[in-house]
Amino acid sequence: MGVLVGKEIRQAWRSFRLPALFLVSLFLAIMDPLTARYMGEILARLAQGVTIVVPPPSPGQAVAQYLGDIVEIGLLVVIAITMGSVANEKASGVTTFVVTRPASRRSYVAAKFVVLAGGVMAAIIAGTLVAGLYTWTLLGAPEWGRVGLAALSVALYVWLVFSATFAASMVAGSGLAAGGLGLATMIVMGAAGAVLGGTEVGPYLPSVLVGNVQFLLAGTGDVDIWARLVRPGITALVLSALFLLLGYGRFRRQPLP
Amino acid sequence: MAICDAHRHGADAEVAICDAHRHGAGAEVAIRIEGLSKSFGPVKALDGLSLSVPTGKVCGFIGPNGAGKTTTMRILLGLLPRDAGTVRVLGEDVVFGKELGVRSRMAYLPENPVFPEKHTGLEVMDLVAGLYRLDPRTARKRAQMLLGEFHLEKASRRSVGTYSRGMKQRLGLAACFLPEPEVMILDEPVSALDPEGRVEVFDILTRLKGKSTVLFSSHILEDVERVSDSLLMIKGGRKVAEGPMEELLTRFAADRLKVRFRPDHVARGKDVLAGLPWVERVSDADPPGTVLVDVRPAMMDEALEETAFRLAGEGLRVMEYSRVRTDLETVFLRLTGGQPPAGR
Repeated sequence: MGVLVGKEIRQAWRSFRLPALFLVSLFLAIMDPLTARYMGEILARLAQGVTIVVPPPSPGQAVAQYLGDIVEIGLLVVIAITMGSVANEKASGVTTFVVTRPASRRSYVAAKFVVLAGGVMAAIIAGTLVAGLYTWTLLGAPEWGRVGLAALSVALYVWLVFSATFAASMVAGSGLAAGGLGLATMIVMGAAGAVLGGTEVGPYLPSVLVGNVQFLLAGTGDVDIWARLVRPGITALVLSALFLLLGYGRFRRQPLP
Repeated sequence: MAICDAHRHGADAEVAICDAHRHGAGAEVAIRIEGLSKSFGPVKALDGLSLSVPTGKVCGFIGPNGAGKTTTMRILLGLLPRDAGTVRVLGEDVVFGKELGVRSRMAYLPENPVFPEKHTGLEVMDLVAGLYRLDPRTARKRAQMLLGEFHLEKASRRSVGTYSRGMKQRLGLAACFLPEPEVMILDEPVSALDPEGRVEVFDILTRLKGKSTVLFSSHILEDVERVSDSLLMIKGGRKVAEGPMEELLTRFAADRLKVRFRPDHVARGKDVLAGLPWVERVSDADPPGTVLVDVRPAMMDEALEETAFRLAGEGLRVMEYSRVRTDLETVFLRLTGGQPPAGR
């Protein structure tokens, strides 16, 4: 599989997919703490003659803004770079190029998954570190334990949407269709949180992970890790595994051109 | 090995090779397909196809468009499920969806080769070497040698995205040859090459005889005839002919005579020929005064023996009288139901 991982890294890097991921993450990591720090002054300059009182931002709020943007803007980038990963190669014939040689379909998709998932997670970790450190210089030190838990929450949620998009890419005949399925997953997860949030299943839904960001970084109380992180995290991981297994099961039996 | 008369059923029927004449068994057959069927919805692409490719031979695989050649190849490679039948390559059953150990001993070139995006030619060769687990140093040397042989040395560090179709086909061939596979399946391997490139590729294929088994499809029948040891011809998903090239050509060459009359006897000579019971068709050919006579199936012995006698009996002056060595194109057109152009 090492040979295929090398191929994937080369392709992802040269096609600007991996750099784009890191650039977006780092851009947000720098812009969000800056925006949080100077928002009051920006508003004061814009609103001449009107007094606007903006409470001084906390370091946690600055990092929360970054992680919130990852869940929105970052996820769209993740879907964009993942949707064609398998689907486009199936359509173009690159998949055939690989699997007619001594490489299994499993190692082919595993190499892609490892590189993309590794890239996505590395971009979140790098971005969170940069956002945290930059916040420290602008607003003071954030609570690193809470930042870590919030980042883990976001990473689990991103992992779910990424897995769904990757699975869709294995199944679909085009990258656009896979992207649509990835977006649908995002929307369904959000809608499920809104509709079922107050019910008995609510605490198990992956949308809890997104809500964690504000809760963890704006609040100061004790954190029930089981309730806030482990329970919805397990749901996200189980759903991810299910999507991937279903996607691979279909891909394994797909005729190739 | 011979084609059994008992199994020959005319132009549209399958020309079978009887069991005693089959291409050996076990290790002597690199590819064996039996009763292969495949449908795409209502369209029957393969209909009980059976064929075998002997080990170490270069086998031409021909048929009209839509005959089922590419479908057969895709099933052979495990890219497509089959509806019925068995497929064995180097003794291993090819089952769709199952990991195939035999892939490390095969190589495939599709009609329009595609390579991973953003890779250079040399990187593609390195990737192929890695997939076949070749020793990197030896593989690199061999890759450079092959790229040189296929005139891609200068372009080897350029992205394959900038390659022309012909260059991609040459890179695909180099990638196929790199691991020195025991079996090569090549779908229209020279369709994008210029005449010089075609000659070079077929020279290489000729050198592989005895070392690798090659199954290749092509619409350029002249090339197939020149390079192939044996031939597989299919139409409508069914085998039409199978056997060694020379035997097939000899077999079908026997069905045509060439007669050249003295110029003032041509018209009457044609009338006489057309009236003979074993003559199927009479057509003009070059040089002037020459007539080609298509003989009805299984009547060649009678035709050879009697035609000259009848012509002489009618007082016709014949300047030349011979059997025609039919080329593959004529054989192809006859077996697939087409008509050879007059004069061939």
